[in-house]
Amino acid sequence: MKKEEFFSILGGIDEDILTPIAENRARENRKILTLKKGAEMKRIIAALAVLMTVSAFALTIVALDYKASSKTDADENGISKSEESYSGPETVIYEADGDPDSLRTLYYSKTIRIAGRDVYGYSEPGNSDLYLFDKNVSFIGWISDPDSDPTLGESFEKVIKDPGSGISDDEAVKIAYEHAAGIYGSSVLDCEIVDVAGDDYSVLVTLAKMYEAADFSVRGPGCAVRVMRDGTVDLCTGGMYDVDADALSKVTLAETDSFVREKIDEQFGGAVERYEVFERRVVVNDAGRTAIRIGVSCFFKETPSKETIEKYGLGGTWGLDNRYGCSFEYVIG
Amino acid sequence: MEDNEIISLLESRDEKAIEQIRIKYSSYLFTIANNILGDDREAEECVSETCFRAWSSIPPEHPDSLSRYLSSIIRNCALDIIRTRKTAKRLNSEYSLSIDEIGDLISSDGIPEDEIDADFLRNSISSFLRSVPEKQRTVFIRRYFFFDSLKEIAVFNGMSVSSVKVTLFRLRKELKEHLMKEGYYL
Repeated sequence: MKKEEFFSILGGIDEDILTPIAENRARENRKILTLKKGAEMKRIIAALAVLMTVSAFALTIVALDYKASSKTDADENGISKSEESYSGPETVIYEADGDPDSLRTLYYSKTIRIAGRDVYGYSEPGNSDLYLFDKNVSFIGWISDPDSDPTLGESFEKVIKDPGSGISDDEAVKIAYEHAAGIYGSSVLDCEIVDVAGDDYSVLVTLAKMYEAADFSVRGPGCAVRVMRDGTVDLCTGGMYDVDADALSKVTLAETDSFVREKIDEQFGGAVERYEVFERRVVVNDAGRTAIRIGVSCFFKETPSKETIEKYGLGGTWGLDNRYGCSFEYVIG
Repeated sequence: MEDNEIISLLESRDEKAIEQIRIKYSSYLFTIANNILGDDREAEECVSETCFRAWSSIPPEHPDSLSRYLSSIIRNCALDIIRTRKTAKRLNSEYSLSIDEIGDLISSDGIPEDEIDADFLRNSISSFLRSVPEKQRTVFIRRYFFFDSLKEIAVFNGMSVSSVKVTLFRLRKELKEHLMKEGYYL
């Protein structure tokens, strides 16, 4: 048989096998998202949203950690458990002894000491991923579903390994800048590292003009460059296509921002405490018009009514209370 | 929005369902299509086509899992595009890499397609996948159903890339032995 036919047959495997993997994968896509062909910019923006959330949480943990004075006792699992003297949210320090099972109790917002290094683990309720931060609240990486990972100890070691080898952060930015400038010329305004994984940097490049790209950054048009630790560029995304480029080039971010403000006031009045734009995409809407679709996270003062949620198609984001996503279309062509 | 709410919107013919599918699943669907096609534009078209097919098929369909249902649609959509491509151009995609990988599972002198009972073969593959540990099953499905890259699979499973490669190699070998025992020499 042809190899292609094998993949077609595999597409019909039993639902009970496929469903949990598909659901887990879809959840991952909505959470921490890695750079990959095509959807990189959208993924970066989503990652930023998560990072902002978890960074705020981790900052709290850092603050608590400074206040804490600890005494250490080994529990029956060989884990050193420190009990804090402050009164406040629980923060427990575990000293891993190399036994993966001793790490399985790690859940929401815990401090983990591995190989002599403190890292902060954070996991959202309902999300099996565990995000790790260092003491400077810099994102280190994440581990998917630690509960079911038989090599959890190795995974932790791998994730928190010293990322000091290879090029420096500054060099990564410089390489990304030069690479993007080779494509977009003087339109390149700024480069910023938004994610550091085991062997690569994800660099967000802000551009002066609104090229039709896979997505726009939260600060405007942009592209994403992945720089490997050996200094090579793995990929660069954010294409330039011919979709009403003239109309696009005339749009300013201020215009779209003011449009969003008006729409939120119009639809929700004073019910929204604050909002964040997490996505700007060029679309051709149902009427055949070119438009910028602007994705917004709205932080409501109180949980909106079911009627409001349904009327405006609000979607819950990141599992946080009173934070709902919606989108508006700014017609430009 | 929860999946059952999206399905309810579809069943009540409310177009907001499409918007909600896009908000919740566009990135997920895009990556699946792009893994297969290696082409942003075609992948975007597949996402739109998937929304349309979901709109057309629900109702009467009422999937238990929307993510699984949508992934099957977009996978088929992308594979359809591959089949209709006139030229045998070398695809820059994970799909093309996967094609190479399964060379040790399927040989050119195996049973012709028209002599294979697809349902039996599908059941046999399902039976094999049920028999392997969950993590290995996940690695296999992510590679050959979703066509995720080895690196992505490694990251999301807390494994090294080489470990993923070895796992896949062993699974292909075991699957081949399993199928041969059941009379399939692919």
